[in-house]
Parts: sequence; C-alpha cells; structure tokens
Amino acid sequence: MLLTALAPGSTTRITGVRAGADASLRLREMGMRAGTTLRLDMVAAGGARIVAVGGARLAIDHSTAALIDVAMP
Amino acid sequence: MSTAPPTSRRTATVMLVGNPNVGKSTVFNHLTRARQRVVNAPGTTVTLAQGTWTTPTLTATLIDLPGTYSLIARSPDELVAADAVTGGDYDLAVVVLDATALSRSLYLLGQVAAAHPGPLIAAVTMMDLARSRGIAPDLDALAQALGIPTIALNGRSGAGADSLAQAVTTTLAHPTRVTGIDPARHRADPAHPLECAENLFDWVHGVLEAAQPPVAARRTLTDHLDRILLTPWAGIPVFLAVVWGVFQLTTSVATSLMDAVTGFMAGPVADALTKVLTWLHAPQWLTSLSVDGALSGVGTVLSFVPLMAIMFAAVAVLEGSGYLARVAVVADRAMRALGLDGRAMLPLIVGFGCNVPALAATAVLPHARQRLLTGLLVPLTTCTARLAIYLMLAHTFIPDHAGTVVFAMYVAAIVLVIVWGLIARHTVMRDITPEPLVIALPDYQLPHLRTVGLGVWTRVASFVTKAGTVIMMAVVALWAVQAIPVHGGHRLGDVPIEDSVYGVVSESVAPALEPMGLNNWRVSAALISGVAAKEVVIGALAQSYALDGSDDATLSDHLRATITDTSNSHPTAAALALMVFSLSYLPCLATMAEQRRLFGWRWTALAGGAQLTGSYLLAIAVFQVGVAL
Repeated sequence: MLLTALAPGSTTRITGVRAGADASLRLREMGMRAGTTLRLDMVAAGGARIVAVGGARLAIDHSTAALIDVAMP
Repeated sequence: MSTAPPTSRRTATVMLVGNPNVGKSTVFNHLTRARQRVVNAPGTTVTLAQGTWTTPTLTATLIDLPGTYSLIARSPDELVAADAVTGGDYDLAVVVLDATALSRSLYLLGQVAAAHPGPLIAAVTMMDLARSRGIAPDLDALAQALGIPTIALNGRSGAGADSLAQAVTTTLAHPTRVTGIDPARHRADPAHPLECAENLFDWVHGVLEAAQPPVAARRTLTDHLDRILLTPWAGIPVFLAVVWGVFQLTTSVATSLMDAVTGFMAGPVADALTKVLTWLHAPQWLTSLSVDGALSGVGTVLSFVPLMAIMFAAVAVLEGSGYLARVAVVADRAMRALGLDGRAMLPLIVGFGCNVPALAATAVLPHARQRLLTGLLVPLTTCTARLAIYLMLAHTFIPDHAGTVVFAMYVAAIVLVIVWGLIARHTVMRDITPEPLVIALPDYQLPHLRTVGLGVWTRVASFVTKAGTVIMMAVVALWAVQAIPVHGGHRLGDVPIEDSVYGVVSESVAPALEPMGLNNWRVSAALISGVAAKEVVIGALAQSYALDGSDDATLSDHLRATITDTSNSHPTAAALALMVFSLSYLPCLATMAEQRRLFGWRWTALAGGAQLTGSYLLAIAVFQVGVAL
C-alpha cells in the first residue's frame, strides 16, 4: 500500500521506498527508512502528506509520497 | 591593592554544526551577541555568520555553518557545511541536536564524528518542546551512549551556555571520541551513500534505544495550527495575507520612513553642509560635489536602511516563527515548474513593491542556487517606481485604455519572470532541477526578539558597508557626468544637461533607440537616469524640457510631440515599446549593488546584460509589430 492511499490519522510502518538513489537517501536521512513507524497527520495544500516520525514532523510532496510503501503494523 | 595574576587564555576556532531549524543561529547569537559579522564562504555566494565567543578561559572564533541534514551535500549551502567539517580547519565542533528530531540530528553527529577525528561536543536544543511532546531524551543516558560531553542548551534563555563553555575548555584539553563510530564504516561516502546511511542508522538506532523513550509523540499546538495553516482552504489565503502584509510593510510603511530620511538629508543636512562650505569659501563645484554627489549618495544609502531593516526583520520573524517551512509546502506547486522552492514566492511578490528588499528576501530560500536564480528574476518584477512611468505614458498615449495597459505591464512582468526563469534553467542553471519536497516542519514558536534584532543589525551593516559603498560611488559618478561640461564654456558643476558629458552620452546612445521609434536624446537621457533610480525617469524627462516636473499635461504635450516625431507618427507603438523597455532594461543602482553583494559582479553583469539585450529586442518587436498593425 502506498503512503498516498493512507487515511489521515492512520499509524503505519514503512516497508520500502521506491524513489531514486538521491531521494531515497534524503528520505532516509530525514528518518524515513524501512521499518520506521509513522503517523499520517493530514493531506496539505497541493497534496503534500504531513507525517509524524518519532517526534519530528515532515511534509512530503504528493509524487514522492506515492513512492513510499507502507503496511499496517 | 593586589593585582590578579594574568590568566592564560586559549584561542580556538569552534564550528557550530546542525540540521536546519535546530536553533543553531539562536545559540550563535546568544554566545557572540553583537560581536559577529556575515561573511561569504570562500568562492561561493553562501554566507556564514562568524563571531567572537568569549568565556572565562577561552576566546573562540565561532562559525555558524549553514544547516544541513547530511555531509553528502546536495546544495552549495550543504557543500559549504560539509567541506568545512571534512576540511578539519577548526579546533572543535559543537554539533547541535534537536531533541524533537533526535534521529536525524544523531545521523549528522555520526557523520561529523566519522569525518573529523577532533574534539566534539553535543549540544541538545528544543528540550522544552520535546518534553511537551513527551519524547524528551534522557541526557545522562545520551551522554553515556555518545561518549562525549552532552549539554542541554537553550539559545533563547542562555541556560546551559556556561556548561557549554566549560565543556569546550575541558574537551579541548582532553578530547574524547564518539562511542561506536568507526570512520572506515561510517564515513559519508558519496560512492555508496545508501550503504553508509544504513550503517549509520544502525548506530543511531542503538543510541536512541538507550536515550529516548519509545513512545508516540503527543500532539501539540503546532499540529492543531497546521491543520488550519496547511489546508488549501485556509493555508493559501493565510499565505497570501502574510505576503500582502510583508508587501505593505516594504511599500506603504517603508516609504514614509524612506521619505523622512531623504527629506532630512536633502533638507536640513544639505542646507547645513552648503552653509559650512559657503562659510569656508569652497568653490561652487566642490559644494555641488559634496551636496549633490557625496551627500546625495549617503542619503540614498541611508534611505534604504529602514526598508532593508523591515525586510530583514520580516524574514527573521517568518523564519523564527516556523511559518516559512509551511510556505514551502503551500506554494510548492506554484514554483515547481521553475525548479524553485515554494518560498521563492515571497521575494518575487515583494519585488513588485521594491526590488532591493526583495533581493534581501531571497534569504528565505535554503539553497544558494535557488537564491541566485530568484535573485536574478527579482528585477523583472515591476516595482512601484516603474508604475509611475507606465501611468504617465499610458495616460499620455493611450488615455482610453490606460488601466488595461498598466495591467498588461504587470502581466508582462509575470510572463517575463517565467520565460527568463525557464531560459536560465535550460542554460546557465541546468543544475537546478525540481527536487522532491521533503521538509521538516519545525514547531511554531514566538520569534526570539534578540535573535531577530541581531540578525537585522548584522545584515543591515553588511548592506551599508558592501552595497552602500557601490551605491555611493555610482551616485558620485553620475554627478560627475552631469557636472562636467563638454562644450558651451560652462563651469564645472553648473552645466545645462545637453552640454554635459551626460548629454553627450545620451545623444550618442539615442540612435540605438531608432528601431523602437525613440531616437531622441531626451528619451535616452531619461532611461540612463532610470539606472540610478526608476523614480527619476519622469523627472529627468521634465528636466530635459526645462520643465519643473509638476505639470504633467505640459510634459505630456512635449513628449507626445517628440515621440510622434521619432516614431514617424506611430506614437502609440513607440510608447508601448518604451514601457516594455522600461520594464526590464536594467535594474536600478541599488538593486545592482545588492545583487553584487549577494551574488558577485559576474552574475550581476550577466543578468544586466541579458535583461538589456532581451528588453531591447522585445521593445523593437513591440514597435515594429505596432507599426505593422
């Protein structure tokens, strides 16, 4: 399941990132790696996903969010 | 009375390293107070803050590096930070960790430790926010896991600064290594970035297990505010309202302050200087040089100070409040086609008020190349000074459709920004590609007044000393060409325009305006004056007709007659060409001086040349099409 298919308020676990090497690395550096639990807070203007990872909150644009696979824990 | 024996003080270079929005600059401002300046990283347009930090036992040169998430750089700013860390030209690094985002902070700490074998200290900020989210780390456990001094630091209150000072002295004398970091395994290797990242995250995971409770973060006020400020129905109107507010501050509010400064310099100060010079029996040319040249230059620079201070303060408040990151989200789609971050909307909109503070507003962008591209596009946003030219020409030549024509000029400016942006992206800035938006959203905070104040002071000082010097020299040079007689036997400083160097240059330039139906020295002289400031174009035209500039109707009559003559009775087409040319032919001196301060001469000259060429061709096209129709 893709992060973009998730309903706001859901807590889920990242299972993989299909982005290119650069985007994958940046996502990992921001804490978005396989096995990490995240909560989808909301869908923002322009379709960006606002997620909570640990104590941090990130905004990820719609097309990048569509490259992140998640699964219910 | 005894004299205390002199204590031996150590000097050291200390780097502040950390993620963006980690509170690093607040820490820097607290430690250095006003003893700081903005410098360019060698060979780049990336600026660094450098200051002096004095502790009881140490005098340190403190360098605030650009915020970065990684030492594998993706932007010039990140590259400056990465090069500074890996170059090792410092005695100690303080890595600032965000307690609310410990994972990515520790990742950077691990990279720094792997790259730099020297002493390291961890300074943990945002502890109060982490507590409110219920995720505050156990600092003793964190220090134990890291194996280096780990200090809780509040840059706003200064709590922890003494402990940091003590830790720096101790660590310089007895450096310790970060536990568990093996440079061979963890050093950032651009050839195998994902593998290195995984290795490092395994280490981060181990540290987090020891130091941070594995609980879900509580929602805070920030989450609730974002539920409003990031939605399309409220986020976009709020963003537009914020930009409108900044626009108003840099136009309506700043204009009255600028007028007050200009009036004071041109009135009482100029009168006083004239009296002093007269009392000293100074020759007339010296009085003219001092009052109309040097003092006018100083007045021009000083008149920009309140405007720049307002802009710098607005940027600092938007940044310090955490709202700027939301702008990047809300305006992301609008700017993506140009390869720019959504935050570029702010300087581009402010540019419609005045280009100079708009250039200052490029500081909201985190990447130097994006700041550069935005800074090169800003002069195409048509400032209010150019509006006076459009209004005068539109009312004179196309009175029935003046409003539509002026509106069309604004549309043309937006089209030019897009077209030039796309041209730049496919030529000199091919390296700018739309990047995925993956951005941390810091908690909303009340901006820290001292940090805002120090930032404004440092940046205004930089503007006055760097851009101000150029503006001053240019104003004096402009005085000189207007004051030096070429023929007519006039005295220096007392020359009619047509007999001055300025008049002769205008005469020689005028034929170049023939293809746009404007071959007249008065027009070329007014356009040359417009390089000094667009506000003076209409006044220069009036002056060339020996009018006092207060009677627009008379000026309109003269101008209509002149342009009807130069355009072979196609005055409307020539007037439209003049408007299009005025829109973008060259930025004003203050804009070019600020561009030079931020991006260097090369980019300023390249952008000016491109604008001049482009607007020249466009104006010719407008006239020729107008004639053909």
